[in-house]
Amino acid sequence: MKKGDFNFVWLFAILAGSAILVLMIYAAVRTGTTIKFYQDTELTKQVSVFLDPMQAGFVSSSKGVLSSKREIVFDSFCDSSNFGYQKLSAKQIRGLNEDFNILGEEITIKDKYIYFSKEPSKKFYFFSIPINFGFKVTDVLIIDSREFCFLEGYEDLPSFKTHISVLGDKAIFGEDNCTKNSIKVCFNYGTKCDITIISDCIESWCDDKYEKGFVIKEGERIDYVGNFLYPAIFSDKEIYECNLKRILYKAGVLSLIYKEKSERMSSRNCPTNLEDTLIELRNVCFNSKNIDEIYSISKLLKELEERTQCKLWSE
Amino acid sequence: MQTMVGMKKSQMRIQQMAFMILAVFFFFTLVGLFLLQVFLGEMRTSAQEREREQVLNILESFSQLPEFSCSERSSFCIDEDKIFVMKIEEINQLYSEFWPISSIRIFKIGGNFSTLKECPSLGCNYYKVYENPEQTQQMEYSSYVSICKKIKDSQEYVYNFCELGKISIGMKIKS
Repeated sequence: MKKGDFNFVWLFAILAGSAILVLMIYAAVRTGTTIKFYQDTELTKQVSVFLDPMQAGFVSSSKGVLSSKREIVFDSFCDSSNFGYQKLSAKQIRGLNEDFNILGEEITIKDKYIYFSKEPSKKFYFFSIPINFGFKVTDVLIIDSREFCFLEGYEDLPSFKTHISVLGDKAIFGEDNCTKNSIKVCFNYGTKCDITIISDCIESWCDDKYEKGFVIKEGERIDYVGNFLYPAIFSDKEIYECNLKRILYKAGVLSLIYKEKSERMSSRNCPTNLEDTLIELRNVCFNSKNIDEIYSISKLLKELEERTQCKLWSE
Repeated sequence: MQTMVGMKKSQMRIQQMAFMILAVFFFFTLVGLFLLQVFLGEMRTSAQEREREQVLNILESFSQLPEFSCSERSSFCIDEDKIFVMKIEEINQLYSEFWPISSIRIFKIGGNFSTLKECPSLGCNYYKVYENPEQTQQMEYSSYVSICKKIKDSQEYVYNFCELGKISIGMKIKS
């Protein structure tokens, strides 16, 4: 064998071998990323399916827990046109570099209103809260993992402790029990509060002190009425406002459905006389979207429906 | 002459190596394709399973949706007036694609059920509330419910007139 002959064969083998090795490593990395992307997408879909039974029901609220071996982070894009939608995505953090930790495919959800914290965690608490505008509009879903400490004042809200207790040991009541990491939630006043709930109620208008008001957090003001207090506490302003618009649209469509139903009942000699108020509610939900005005009409609707013999939505 | 023989031997070795490299490359490509096929199959099954779970969940809570429920405290009861309203084109169009399903059909199964006759019409026995025209394949799941409407009788007494019914919800099948 000549010296040059030996060199050429080895050179060819090394070049071809390296090319194959590089290709295989690239394929392995790509496959790994794809599998992770698929697993994260499946996780998002599983969460979406898991939330289904929590959403509709006649119970006042429902709850659930999601646990994972790895930390999970949720993200979403929200669109508020008409019924709108939320594109929910999740990722499991695997402790590798950031490029590997990309979010899974977004799952488009049109029939749910999800409020969540963007903090990564291995354990998330889920609970649903009903939203009523005279009649029931929907259940909103809240996903959180953070520890909250509710200072004195929550007693003025009759169902507050019951609803919040679904957070288990992540819900602490009373300043003395607060831990260093817990998010301090104050009612009407307080020092070193992360979140402050301010009542804006006129006594004759409200059934309880915190039925209407606003929440201050991270220097921003979030107005609420009724059970919108819970999303206002747990969600960021952007998701809150987007979902509020979607819910108002749904309330408008439902007032149209009840108006049509009322007309059908009237034709069977079972009048409700709620048509005008329902049209008014629909118009405000679709046009001005003034939450105070909507809530006033809703309260009026509820009172009128209670008085009528032919019920539209209650028993 | 010796140089020619040496050259031929080298060419032979290069050819051998090239064929070997190609064979190894094809072998790994085939293994990769096989694994990909298994992975895609699993993914398809899992996606179908999630869709099925979703439809079953919707079916379970369907009679409690404010768009169909008889009242806020009733379960397994669908309001017949609301079914009519949901069929109004203006409202029906608003709800197209709102729920992740392909069809909603509601049947009245009391009385003559041998022939299907769509409502609203005389002696009808089923409502086609929603149907996705793009969905050619169908897989439906059903549940029994009461179909009720409020009636006021001659003595001014208001009561719920109910019939036995069945809701059938179609699952989205991705082709």
